[in-house]
Amino acid sequence: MFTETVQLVQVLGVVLVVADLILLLAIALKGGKVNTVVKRLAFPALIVLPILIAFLGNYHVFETSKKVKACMQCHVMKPFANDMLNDTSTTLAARHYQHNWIPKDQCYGCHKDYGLNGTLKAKLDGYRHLMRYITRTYVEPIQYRGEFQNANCLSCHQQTKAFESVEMHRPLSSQFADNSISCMNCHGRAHPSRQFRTPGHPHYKDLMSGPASSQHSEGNTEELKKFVESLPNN
Amino acid sequence: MSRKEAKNLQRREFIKLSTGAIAVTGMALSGWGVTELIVDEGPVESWHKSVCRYCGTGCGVKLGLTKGKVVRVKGDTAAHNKGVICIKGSTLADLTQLEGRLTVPKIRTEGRLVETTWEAAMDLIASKFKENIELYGPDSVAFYGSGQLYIEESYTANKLFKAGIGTNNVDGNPRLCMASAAVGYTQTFGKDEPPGAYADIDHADCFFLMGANMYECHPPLWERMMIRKKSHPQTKIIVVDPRKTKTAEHSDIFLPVYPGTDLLLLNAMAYVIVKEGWYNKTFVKEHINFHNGQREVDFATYIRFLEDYAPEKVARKLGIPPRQIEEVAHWFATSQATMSMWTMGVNQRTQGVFLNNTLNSLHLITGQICRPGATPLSLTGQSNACGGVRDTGSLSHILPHGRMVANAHHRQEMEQLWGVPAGSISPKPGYDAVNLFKAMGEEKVKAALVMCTNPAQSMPNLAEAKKAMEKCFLVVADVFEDTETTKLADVVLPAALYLEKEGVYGQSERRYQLIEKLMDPPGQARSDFDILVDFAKRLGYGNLIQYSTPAECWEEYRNLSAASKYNFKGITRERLQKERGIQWPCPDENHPGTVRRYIQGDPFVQEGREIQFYGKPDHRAVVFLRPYIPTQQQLSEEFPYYLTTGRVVEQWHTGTMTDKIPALSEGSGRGVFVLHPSDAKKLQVAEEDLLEVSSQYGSMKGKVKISENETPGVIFAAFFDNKFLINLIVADNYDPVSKEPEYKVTAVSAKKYTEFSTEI
Repeated sequence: MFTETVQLVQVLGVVLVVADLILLLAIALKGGKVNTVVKRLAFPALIVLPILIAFLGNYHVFETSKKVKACMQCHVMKPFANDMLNDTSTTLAARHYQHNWIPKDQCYGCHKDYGLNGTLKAKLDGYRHLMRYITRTYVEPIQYRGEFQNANCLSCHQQTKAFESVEMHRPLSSQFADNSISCMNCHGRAHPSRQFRTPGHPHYKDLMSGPASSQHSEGNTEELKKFVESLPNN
Repeated sequence: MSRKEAKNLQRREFIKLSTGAIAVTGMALSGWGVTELIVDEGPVESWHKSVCRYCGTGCGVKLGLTKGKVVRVKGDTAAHNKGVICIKGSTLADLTQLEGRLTVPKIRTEGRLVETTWEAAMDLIASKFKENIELYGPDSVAFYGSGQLYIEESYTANKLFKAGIGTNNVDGNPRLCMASAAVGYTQTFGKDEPPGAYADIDHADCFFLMGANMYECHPPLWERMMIRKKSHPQTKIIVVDPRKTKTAEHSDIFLPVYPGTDLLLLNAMAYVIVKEGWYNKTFVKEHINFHNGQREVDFATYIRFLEDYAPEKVARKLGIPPRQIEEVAHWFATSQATMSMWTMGVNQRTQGVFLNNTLNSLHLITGQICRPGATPLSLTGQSNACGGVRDTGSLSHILPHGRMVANAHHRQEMEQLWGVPAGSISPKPGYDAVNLFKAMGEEKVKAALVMCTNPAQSMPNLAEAKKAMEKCFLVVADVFEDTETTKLADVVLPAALYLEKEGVYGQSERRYQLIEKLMDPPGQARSDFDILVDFAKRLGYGNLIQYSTPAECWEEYRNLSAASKYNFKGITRERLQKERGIQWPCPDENHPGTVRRYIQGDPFVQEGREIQFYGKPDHRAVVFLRPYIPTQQQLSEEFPYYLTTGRVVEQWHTGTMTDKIPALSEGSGRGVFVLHPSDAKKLQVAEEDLLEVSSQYGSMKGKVKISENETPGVIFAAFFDNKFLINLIVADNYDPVSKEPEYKVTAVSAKKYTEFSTEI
């Protein structure tokens, strides 16, 4: 019936909320008199159920915020997600998706930074994104702040046969560990480039409209030139 | 409850609610503030767009600087390479911080290089050059440059020597790597430089790679090809190479032909294509002439010529089955779009030009050209061999923008453009690289300026070349004092490296990109450009070289290009600062640049013409009938193995830069002889044993590495290691037209070396 725990949690949470409301209503109907019945109802209604509901709610938010759909709710993330879902795209994100290399929660899979604080850091970053989004304090095209952690790649790839067979990986292990050389240097861009994600670029509309579009044609060089000219010095 | 009480209650509740709302908002905002503060921004203060220093791929990079130092390097996602670079590019930060730089000019005194001032060094150089020119004529001096100098630097040297001093003795290391490709294009299309671009990789359905180990030597292009293959799994990758390189390992069809025989394969493919009717009849009729080297011939003559190359007639010599030749011809001719890429395995050959011609011819007869994904594209080894040397005409037989020294009209055009009296440019082509060093040995060339290159490690038949350099007054401008060439120099000049100077690079696909100065050179080091401008003044050519900055030089150079079919007048410095390189032709500032030549979009193709090979008078490209001529380096009882040389992914050329970077040096290991297990068994050697390898040019010993990827009978050695100078035994015979030496094929003997061996 429930394919994922989060669905069970969602239903359970609703049931508990309804149950709590019933209990609170029952207490209210007593007209402020504190008798034995009220005392018995008060403990689950005011303590047990709210704690359980808060716990399940938190769990639900934590779990659903890992979903690609959650990321796609902000329009600035649409170019990333639409590109990933595009079966003709050749970005790293799209190739990982096309080959089902990350079976679920694909955005989170590569952005959780792993390690001890990984999940916490990802959640805090997600919160920061949310606040930026609702306060409209962002500029398109959005840009990754800081450095993408190689740990996101290495946690799956390291020690695989394909990784180990590339001899040039070996002398660079310390540079990979301290992020001074990024995996993406040799393996390409993860998402559409900033140019493509800039409002006004010929491919911007495609990227915003949905995964079926193909943003990999060379495009019209005249249009591209006009666009490049419009960019600030970089 | 009274009204007053009720009012008080409402107010109290309002205050409570407001306080609660403020508390929640405050918590949300302060939480946000905390998340903003804890973002790890990384160590970079500012990012700058630039271009990688190393190979001819010419990758766009973003350099992250902190306190004037490069601390991070990443691929530029907005550049043609879409953010992909390689291991060498990834270590550019190390390159900019290498120790042991040459910081002061030095003059050799009693066998030792002794520190001096710029004034004294430049005065000595100028007086030596003047003295030789006066006593022995202008051809007694020479410039030996590099495909790594910036365009402004090569252009200035070329102008100074050819239009000022009056000698065409201007050559350089691109002679060793790209000359055959340049001559090949010029003969076939009438203009040098490739018709296609890297963007064609995204459209090709069949890749024909010959003599190119892209996995190791052009990794970003290889990655692009792999992306094409992964997104279009039906794409075929065909690799022709005597060695089972990393590139060959990933191919669909691998043809391990014997060294020196591959022209047989190309002609056999043409035979199959014509016999099976897979050629493009309309294209042949409308766009092609056939030529046997002496005169134009008809298609029937071409067919008769090919009869000698039927697969069953040549397969044995090639060492592959006839059926495989037929299969490869099929894919080449019938795929939706076929793209050929090649490099030194084709160019560094005595039939280098013929091979280039015939590769171009296969594209022409099949019509696999002038469409997205269908094109021949020679890959360049050096970062600026195309823009800096081929386009500026900085070789001994050419002048800027496709003009020839031997052509009186071309000389006259350049004399007018440079504003020098008629007859200033000598009609006699200068010495090509191999013959330039021979001329030094014969004391015909008595003084030479060598810039940004290391011929005492890279020249074939190296012992002879080194002896020759010792006889010449040799001035070497370099960034390090410990190169093999500076060891032979009479004067060494400390040069600025990469980001310590400004200039334009032109990579394999006609794209010009600007490298901006981001830091000062160490000590007294100066840019090669400043050295050349100073040198010109001291020789009395201040009027000829009037500009004093690279930007002023570029202004002169781009305006001058308007008088040619290279026309890149529209590539201004301002555009280069802003855009991620522009492909020429680009005749005006509003032109977006030309991705593919000879089709609409190329400014020189007339309106209404779909395809126009405008480099030729009748606008038809030429398919040459090029016979296979066996190399002089034939196997014999005395020399039963072939030696072939090349690069490894971690090292670049003679390793003067990359071998000083620990991660790269550790990755590559040292120079070794790599053998197939069957040869190791025959020679009774194991890994790490010492092997003595000899050719008619010399003998050397080195450690053995055994690899199943080598072909039996072929020994491979990389040339980056200055403690393993493989070019001591490499043949210096060369292509008769391009004069490019045959590094890839040397007949050698090999035997195990023990301390009891008596011959050494």
